[in-house]
Amino acid sequence: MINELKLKEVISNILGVSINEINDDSSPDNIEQWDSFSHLNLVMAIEAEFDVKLTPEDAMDMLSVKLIRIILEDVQKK
Amino acid sequence: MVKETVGQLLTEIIKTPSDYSRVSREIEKDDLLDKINICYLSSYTSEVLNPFIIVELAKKGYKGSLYYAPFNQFEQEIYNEDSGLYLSDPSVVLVHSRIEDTHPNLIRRFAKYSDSELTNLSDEIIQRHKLMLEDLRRKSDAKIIVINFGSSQMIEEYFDSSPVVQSQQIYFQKLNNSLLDLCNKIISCYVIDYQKFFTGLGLDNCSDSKLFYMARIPFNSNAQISFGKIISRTIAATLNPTAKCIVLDLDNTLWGGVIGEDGISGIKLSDEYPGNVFKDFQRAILGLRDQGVLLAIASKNNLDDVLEVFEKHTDCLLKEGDFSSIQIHWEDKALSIKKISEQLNIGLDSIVFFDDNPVERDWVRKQLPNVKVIEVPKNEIDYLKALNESMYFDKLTITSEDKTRATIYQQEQQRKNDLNNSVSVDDFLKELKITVKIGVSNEVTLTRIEQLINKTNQFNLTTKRYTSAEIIKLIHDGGKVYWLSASDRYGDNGIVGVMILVKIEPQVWLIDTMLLSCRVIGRKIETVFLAEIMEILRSEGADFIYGSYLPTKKNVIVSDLYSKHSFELSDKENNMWKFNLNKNHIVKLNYIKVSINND
Amino acid sequence: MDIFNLGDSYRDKFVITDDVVHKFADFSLDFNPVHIDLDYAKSRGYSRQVSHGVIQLSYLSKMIGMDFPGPGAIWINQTAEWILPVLVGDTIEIVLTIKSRSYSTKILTLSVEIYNQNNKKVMVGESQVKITENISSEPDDNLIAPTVHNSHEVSKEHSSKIANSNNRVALVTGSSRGIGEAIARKLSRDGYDVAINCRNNLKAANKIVDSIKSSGADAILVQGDITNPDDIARIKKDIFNKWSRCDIVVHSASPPINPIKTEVLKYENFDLYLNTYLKASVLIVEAFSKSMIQNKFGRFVFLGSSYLFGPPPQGMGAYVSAKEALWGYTKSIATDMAHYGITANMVSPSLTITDLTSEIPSRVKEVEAIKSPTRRLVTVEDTAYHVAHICADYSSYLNGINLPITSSPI
Repeated sequence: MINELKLKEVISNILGVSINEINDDSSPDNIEQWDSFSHLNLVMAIEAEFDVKLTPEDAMDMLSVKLIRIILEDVQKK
Repeated sequence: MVKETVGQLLTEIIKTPSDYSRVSREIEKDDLLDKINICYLSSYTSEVLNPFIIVELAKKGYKGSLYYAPFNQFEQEIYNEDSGLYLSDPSVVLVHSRIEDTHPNLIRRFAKYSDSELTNLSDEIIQRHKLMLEDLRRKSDAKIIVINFGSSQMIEEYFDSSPVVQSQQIYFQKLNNSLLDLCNKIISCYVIDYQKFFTGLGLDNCSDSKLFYMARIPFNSNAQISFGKIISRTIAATLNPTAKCIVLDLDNTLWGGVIGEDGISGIKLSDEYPGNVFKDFQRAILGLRDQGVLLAIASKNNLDDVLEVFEKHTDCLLKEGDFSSIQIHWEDKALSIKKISEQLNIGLDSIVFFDDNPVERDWVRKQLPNVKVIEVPKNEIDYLKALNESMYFDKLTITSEDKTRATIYQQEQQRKNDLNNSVSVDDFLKELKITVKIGVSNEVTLTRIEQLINKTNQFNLTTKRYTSAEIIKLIHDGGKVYWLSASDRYGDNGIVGVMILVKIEPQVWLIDTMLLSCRVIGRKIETVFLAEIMEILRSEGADFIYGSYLPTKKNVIVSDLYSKHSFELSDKENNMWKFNLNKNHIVKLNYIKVSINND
Repeated sequence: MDIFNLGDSYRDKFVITDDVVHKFADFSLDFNPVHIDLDYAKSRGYSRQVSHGVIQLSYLSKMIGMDFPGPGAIWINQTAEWILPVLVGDTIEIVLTIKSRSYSTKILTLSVEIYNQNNKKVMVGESQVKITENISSEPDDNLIAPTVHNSHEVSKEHSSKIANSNNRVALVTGSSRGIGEAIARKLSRDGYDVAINCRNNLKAANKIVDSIKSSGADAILVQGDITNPDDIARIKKDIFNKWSRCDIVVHSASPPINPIKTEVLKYENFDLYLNTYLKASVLIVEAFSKSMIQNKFGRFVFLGSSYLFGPPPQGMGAYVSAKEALWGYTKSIATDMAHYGITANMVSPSLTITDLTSEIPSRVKEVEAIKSPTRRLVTVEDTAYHVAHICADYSSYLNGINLPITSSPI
């Protein structure tokens, strides 16, 4: 189980958007600040905050908040 | 000093990239910090370091505005006068060209090179840096910080002791030596040791190959935070003048224990634990002196006791002559520091104060806000770390003048005790929130009472020594033995005072012994001690109290105790004073709470 | 999943009558006298008979299956600790509260607390329930209000009238589920008479036939194995008996798709796919093209796959080879038969969610979706619409194409 509030805080802090704007569908499509550079910052921050090690595939697949949650759950299970 | 607006934010725990990002955004909104422009030239994606550099610089009072040149555009940015580099008008330029990026074969295929090829390559690398840095210096006054060459990604696959790895390390060492020579010839050009950074963290803790392969990010977020700290610290060191003088306390700072109570053989200063901790601290202090920092003392002690240590204690590395200014007396330390600053002709903001006593530190912070007070940790083992982490002595160059500076000032020492004190002590003492308990001696307290009687020398009116048996006899014969314990905001000091009264006539008592531990001198605890005992005697019907004073070399401090507390001199020759309980006014203090122990 | 929030709760009460206990005993054959015999129960220290603990779980099953989460939920794990006995005549209240939910596995964890009429806790436990998704093209009759139900009469699709002014008949193979079902229903809505084919899935196929008929259109069930020439002959006979024609054949039947690593792939593994895709197509064309030639109209539509474009995923050697072979055949039919008015085309959708692909982890599906320019996976409806378009009379010039339904350039 992922701490959803923690995840939203990390995304909010890294991308610079308010927590209210973040939901499952949030992705580079609808958040302007989510570009390829901030995406990497997001990956690094998530690794640090949730104490996980992500593969390049995991990093590249994290293309929406919903996907981030699904991938984190998968990784934490291992 | 960090300004209020982001000050609050910076005292919170900032540990993860997420924390840093959030705080750096707040800093970008700030208007009060000192702004500095910085340009970062690198061969990798340096933008990732931004939140870490911003936050760490803010902790030092700076708002950094960073221009990250497009990567690998060293020459383009430096040679072209219209480039972003010059447009950004930086005060500091960081230059980091990594071998992993420019010459990956030197990392992964070191063994393939012949000696002459290696020499050619290192010449080429140094030459390139020479041209870049010299041109940069010609075109800009900015401080230049060059990061040298290290092995972040090499050696991963190889066994550490393999001959390839060892000759590679030697090669890099030589390369860095040449780079250092080059930088030393350029004004205001400093070097950050990249190798030390990696060794410090450990390769396993820095690397994350996916970041490098996917985005040319050189190391993981943990390492980025550390690197950001190093860069910020170095930047601050280029901009801030280092502290010129360190004012040191003595007891429990330069040696363990209190010289006035433990004596020269009782203080901890030796090659065994814990004396060796203090000895090493002294060594480090001398190291500061070698680099041109002036040493000074502000200590509440008897001068002679201290000088004896400097002259006679074989493990005392520091000598009287090492100090450029010495203030040893019983008056307050803020005054001492002011005198030191006047005597050495340096500003208060160039002075660092190091004292193990939180009360003293607090007092100096309040009285002299410009003095840099180090928050000394409780355990002496951490003193050196505190000194280093304070960064007040970060210095990027040492000149020959630095080495002799201390000697120049040595000749201007002042030894006079200065008793003028125009500062408000009462307000400060109020804030200490001292509470005091007074009780009659019993089996439990007797041991401590005996200990204090036999070792207290300074605040001791008659310096009479008794064994416990003698004390018990005294009580048996009708005498009164009181103890006093004190606490303040910082903690409980335990039993710190003793008063012994003997009846010389009906309703007439004599203060046979009155003493206070060094720890609580200067807090007017003697006033409440006297007041309370006098009230007790008065309520029992006593008429007079006599106080005797037997002067010794060490107890000059109490020579005027009785006169300050409304006693009248009754016998000058014998130093006998008298207090009329029915007529004289008992001096009281309302800000120290007293309670009587009835156990 | 999103409608379920942490902390949401649901409760219901049930009375454990004597009758309930007896019914349960009859059903389970648990006639332990402590449940049945009052005197016996009293002799054991209970004031009345003790009800079977599992009765509480039965009511729990009702709640989970019908109310919270409700239909579609599959109960996969349950712990139960009985704290106090529930006696005949007691009333129990079951309280379910959502404790956690996992998006990746679609599992809800619920806490269960059961109280008796004196508000004493009689049972505590934890349930894990899997939330299944609707993968068929028809809305679930049970869950969605009737006004949304797809009724032929209320449909505004007048294209149906245009499309079938010639009373055309379509056969859709493998139409008891998935893409085939969606195609069959779409063609039916467009006004075609449809023959529903399946090999085994009779119940579902009949349901579709009934559903089409109840909307006012015509359909028959033609069961059979389309890799078997005899079955094909029978299917043809049934269709011609009913309608005397077959203008359109859409071949969408497919076996379950299981990846096999190329290192261990044998030619035998190819049989299943080659038979279902290529051989069946040959049999179909052989059987139905004659009448199409006579009528100067025909439509053959074959299901391809987006894996025909670009590199296929791992382990799909047999599947992709068979589809490629079918594509080759499609092109030949197109070239050779178009002058009769018969077109042959292929449609190649990307990974579609059907019961054949339900085991694929949600991460894979989600990633496919997000990487697609339209940010969603293709649905059976998407494919059905384009098949219908190709089948239309006006599509006579669409011939020999392999239409990718992939939402991105290939």
